[in-house]
Amino acid sequence: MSNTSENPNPSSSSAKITLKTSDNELFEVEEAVAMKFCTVKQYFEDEKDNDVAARGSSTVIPLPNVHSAVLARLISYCKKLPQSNAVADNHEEEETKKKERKQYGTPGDLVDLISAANYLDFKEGLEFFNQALADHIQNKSVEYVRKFFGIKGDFEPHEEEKYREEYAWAFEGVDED
Amino acid sequence: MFQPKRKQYLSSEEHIPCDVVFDILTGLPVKSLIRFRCVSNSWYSTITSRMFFTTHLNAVLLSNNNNSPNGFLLHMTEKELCTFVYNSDRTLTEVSRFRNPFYDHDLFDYCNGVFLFYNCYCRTICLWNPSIQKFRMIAASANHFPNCYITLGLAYHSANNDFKILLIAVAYGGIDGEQAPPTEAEIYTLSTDSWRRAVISVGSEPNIGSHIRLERTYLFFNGALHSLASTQGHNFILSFDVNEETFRKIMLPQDYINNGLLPILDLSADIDQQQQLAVFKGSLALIDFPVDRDIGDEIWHIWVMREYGVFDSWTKLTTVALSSVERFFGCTDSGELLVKKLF
Repeated sequence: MSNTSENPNPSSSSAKITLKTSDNELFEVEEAVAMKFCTVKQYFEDEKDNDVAARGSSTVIPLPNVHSAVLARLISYCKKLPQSNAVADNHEEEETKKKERKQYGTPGDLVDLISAANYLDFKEGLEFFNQALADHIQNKSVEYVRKFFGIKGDFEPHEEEKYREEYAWAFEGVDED
Repeated sequence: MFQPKRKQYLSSEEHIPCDVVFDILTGLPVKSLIRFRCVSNSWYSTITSRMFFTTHLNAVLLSNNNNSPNGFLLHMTEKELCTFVYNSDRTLTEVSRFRNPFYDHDLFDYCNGVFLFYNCYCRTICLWNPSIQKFRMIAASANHFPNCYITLGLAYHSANNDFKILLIAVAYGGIDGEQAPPTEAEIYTLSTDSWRRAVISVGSEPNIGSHIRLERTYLFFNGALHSLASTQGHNFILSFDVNEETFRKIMLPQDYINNGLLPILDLSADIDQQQQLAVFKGSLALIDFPVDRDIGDEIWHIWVMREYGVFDSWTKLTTVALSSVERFFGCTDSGELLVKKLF
């Protein structure tokens, strides 16, 4: 959480925007970073239209669906965005990118990040964390995926059995858990 | 990690919206998708939908293309079929290696992950999709055509998320002045597993098919199959629009014709020039190169149709000198020619 600050810093030259999370924490972030979140951008522009220039930077944008811990993560992700978004050129680069995606915590953490990125309409972040979750479930069993997403299997047992037999090769080599 | 109380699995309230699940699934390889089709009926419908197929395919193509000049090479031995990708540093990386189930067939065409094999003796056709390990023998109508050679093209029908095969049987007859039997075209649709007969007619020329000469394989580009064609001393490109199932004639560059670099596809003549269609930096291109390998540097001519289907947009791009080329494979996205050299 070192990238965030709760105490306003009026001497700073670049424009800042204050975001308020669901647990009532205040985040002061650079405008360029905040504008990556389309939901924030929209709110900010609406406010501008309402002519609140007189109030200036004192506008606080509430984000009732985002927890402070998640927002801190998203902001730190934003700051290293450029290299994160370059498309992999070869196999080694793809492996490096996979490792990078792995750093963003447990699958549960990823779900929080995905939900927040989706709510904030933060496209690059959503793509990145979606792929991180895809990496995670890639070698998982059907049972794991059902449990993880809270889905009930609704095929007839004999239908499912038949399918698994027909595509037996796709069910080989899955992770133990 | 940052919320210690978090459970390993989602509860029903923490539902990820459908469109987000869709996006997550597009990031998975084919093997995982085949497995996850049996998670639930709703996942099955999502993964087998046309929209998902297209999105997934585009995502895969994008990740393969960006920053690398692309260019896949296929290498087939009796036992194995290997695919290579050509890297920006001019090296080759093996992408995949499959056991070749059709060693008695010739690899004829490749389109969007599907291979087309043909055995010219038994006249059997097979389609093979190695990533889902499925193949289909096609009840070929090729047997109906005696005294013909078979030309085959495989195309992806984007509007219907389907594959089609164009088969044109070109009669050997008619060379010594006798009446050639009409050339017949048939179109196979994968989803219905059926053939349908078609007449090769182009605008004002209702039966362009007689006396036609075609290449054995086609170039799939811009939703259409293309072959160099020659009929009674007249040369052009025959194209077949896969969505509309219509034939079209695309004229060759004027200065190409003026230069007298004719004839093409003339089986009887002593040919010292060869022509091939290719895709050059996203445009249809005509490559003309010498077959005689005894002379030193050989002159290659490249024309590009800048605007697809517009005759006036043919541009003579360049002339290059290459020596000892055995085979021309095609062009990379960055416009390099991939060739196999004799030594």
